[in-house]
Amino acid sequence: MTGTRRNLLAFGGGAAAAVAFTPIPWKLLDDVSIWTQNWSWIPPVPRGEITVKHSACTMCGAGCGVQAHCVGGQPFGLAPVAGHPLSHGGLCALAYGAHQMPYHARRLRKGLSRGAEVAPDVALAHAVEILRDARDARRVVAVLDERPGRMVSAMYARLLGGLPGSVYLTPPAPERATAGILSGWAGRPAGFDFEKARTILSIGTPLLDGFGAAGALLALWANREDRVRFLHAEPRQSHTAALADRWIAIRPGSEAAFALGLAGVLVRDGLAKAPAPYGAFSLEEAARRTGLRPDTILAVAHELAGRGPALVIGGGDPVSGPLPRDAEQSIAALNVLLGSEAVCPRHPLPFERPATPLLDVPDGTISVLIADAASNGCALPEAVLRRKLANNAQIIRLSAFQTTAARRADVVVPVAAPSEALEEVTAPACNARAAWGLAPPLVERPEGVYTVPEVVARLAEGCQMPAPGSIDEASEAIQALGRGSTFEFGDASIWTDSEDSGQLEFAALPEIRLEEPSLADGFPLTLMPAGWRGAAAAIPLPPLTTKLYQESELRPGAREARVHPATARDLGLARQSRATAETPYGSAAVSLRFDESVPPGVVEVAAHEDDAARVFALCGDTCWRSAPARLRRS
Amino acid sequence: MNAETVERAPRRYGMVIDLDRCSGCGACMVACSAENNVPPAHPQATERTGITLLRVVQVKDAASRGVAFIPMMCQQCGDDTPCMTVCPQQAVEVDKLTGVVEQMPQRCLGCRYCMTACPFQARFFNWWDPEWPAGMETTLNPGAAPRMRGVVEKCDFCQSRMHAAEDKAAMEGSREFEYTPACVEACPTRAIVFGDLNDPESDVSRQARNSFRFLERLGTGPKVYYRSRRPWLRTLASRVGAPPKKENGNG
Repeated sequence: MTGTRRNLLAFGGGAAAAVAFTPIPWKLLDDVSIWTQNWSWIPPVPRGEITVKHSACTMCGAGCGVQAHCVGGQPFGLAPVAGHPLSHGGLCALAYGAHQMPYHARRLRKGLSRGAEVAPDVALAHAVEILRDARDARRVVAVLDERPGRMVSAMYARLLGGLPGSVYLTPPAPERATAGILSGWAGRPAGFDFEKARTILSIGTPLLDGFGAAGALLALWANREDRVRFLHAEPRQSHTAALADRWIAIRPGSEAAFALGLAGVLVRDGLAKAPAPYGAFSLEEAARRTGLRPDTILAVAHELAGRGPALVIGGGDPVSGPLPRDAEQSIAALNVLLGSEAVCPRHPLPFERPATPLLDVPDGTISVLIADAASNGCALPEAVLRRKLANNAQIIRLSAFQTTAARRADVVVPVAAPSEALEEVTAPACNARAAWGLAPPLVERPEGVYTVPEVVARLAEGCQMPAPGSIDEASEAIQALGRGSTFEFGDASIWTDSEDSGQLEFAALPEIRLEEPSLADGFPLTLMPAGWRGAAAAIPLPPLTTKLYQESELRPGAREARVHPATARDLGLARQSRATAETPYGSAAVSLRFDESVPPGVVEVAAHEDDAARVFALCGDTCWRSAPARLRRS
Repeated sequence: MNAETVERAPRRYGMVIDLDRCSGCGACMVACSAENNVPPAHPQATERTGITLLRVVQVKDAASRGVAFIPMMCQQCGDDTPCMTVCPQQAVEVDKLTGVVEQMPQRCLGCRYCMTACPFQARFFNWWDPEWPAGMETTLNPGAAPRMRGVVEKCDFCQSRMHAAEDKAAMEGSREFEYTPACVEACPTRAIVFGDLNDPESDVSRQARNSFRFLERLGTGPKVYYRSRRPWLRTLASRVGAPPKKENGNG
């Protein structure tokens, strides 16, 4: 071939055309793809030795055991602990994101003083000053502890011991409700042995969706076969209603009537194992109030009596709050009437201190409130809390996160986030056997951030009070008992008490009178806040739970309202339209979704993180379970 | 094969999900995201644009008032894998040794043909760059590289765990290994069973015998099986996406 210009061009053109048939363009495309995936803003994954640490989840009070897979000492994933006496090898969705909580966007590393950022020691000094002034002026100081029963709770109680007229409070929690009433009637702590029960009826309480330790009850449910039957009474078809063997769709607010109806049947049919003044409450009356057929109530009562040991569980919802007192008493009374062996006496922990229920405190009486950082995963509307405070009352919050409640406090002392400090875990209050363990930290806490025992000690020191002790005392107290068993997993352990062999004897059951539900003119619907454990709690949700409520429809997200299609049709509202929910206490814009599991006449509004305050405001300041409502098109 | 090399018998990984045991708690979804370094939702993400490699879907039956929770992930189609067939970049492959449908984000151009082809809607597009709150990147799983904006991703039965188990076995001089995907480990009711479908003695093989698959009529050979005693769920599984039946010719 001669080197002519024509040949050169032909060679160049041929070579260019042939390149498309070689791996070169594909290789280039590959390389460009790989290169563009290594931009500096795509975070590199950490490298280092893979190890396993053991601890416990402290996102709520269930005390589930976790094993953390770590790289270079930093946890990158959590897994359950097989055989753990509280969690039974299971964890809930919150726990799987717990290791990311120290890096939450709302993480508080500084203190807050009336909303302004201050150094942690300045915030603590401010808190000491408030407490000292309150002591000198003999004003009522209260501590609000969402997880009573820990050694740190005893430390709070000792701190309050030096402040005359002070009160140690606990907010409502589903696990404490029925067991708490039964404990009061028996004069000693009572709990439930779910393993012994053959029939479990939950009334208005999501027993299979965030009650106690998720693993324990879900394992019981999943392996029930014909051994245990789960019955659930609730107006809406919640997760628990969907999973129960039988869902009893009662009217909103008729939990007490349903329980009294069952009690009436037990008494009249001679099935009750204790005397009770409920025989006069007729089946017809219960049917009228609950919207059920009389034979449904009759069948449930006979199933409870005939398929024992039976348990009846109340307590309400972690988001929409406790049931009314008459309902809780009726539910507790059912357990006494059934004489269930699954209701057991419970040894208290040696350092357990009795706490006053927050809702029992007279309104306007607390001058200084110290709110502990621990969360039980349940909602406590700010308005309900404020109602208990005196004019010009001051709030000191211990918090690891900048939540709505923290922003409204007078002082916020920054404390360790979950998995940053040594924390105590206890068994849920409904468990028949007490348990106590320590959750070792998984990561180092930031400089300047306190632990809760440190804050309590500094508050006592600042007020020239005796030192309130330390959590080390708890292990000594438990060792001194000389009973129970310890489950060891890796570098962590949990002690479980032995069974209390005593018998529970209950005082005479009280008479329970039901009032006719009041109807508000112009509000034909019932608004019910809805959500799931942790959605409206004192600490924010782990960031990865957005998968459940924002990137899927598994859980309700903010500003979402669900109505039955028939309700929407009657009101002329379209699917996914905007509407305004109005109650006698206020109004809020919502996005409508149709859901046949919501009963007609009910508007289920999601109470979610910061938006929860707006939803609870629609329910007033005494109860946040429901409110008369109406919907109008926006 | 000679004395110095040992061929590993090909496996066919699969799952059996007992829908009567799924409580819809969502633990598997969160555990899956943590394991695979899926970032928290972008503020604008919705259920259509978000990334949930495993999504628990709630379904209802009007007649029986029944409710079920269905964990849906890539069904690991074994025959004529639709996503693999349409990918112009060979970014999807079925691993001959495991049967797992693998997605290689490095090769993905983001054309989303695979998302259109997937009958299970189990593929997700990265509409945004992955972002974590400051400091949270230290909690990333070292076994899974974060994917950038513009590529498609999906469940791969936690291949990072499989490789880690394989490496560990190799270090111990063995070729035999077992591993558990994150969702299986996370399920508090043990609703998900995972294993080798080629091993007739495995739990997954035994349970798969009395089970059903979603959209079986399409012939894509999914390796994710479902179980339930509720007939309406079997009917649902066969009818999803099917054209509506004509009722008695009345139109």
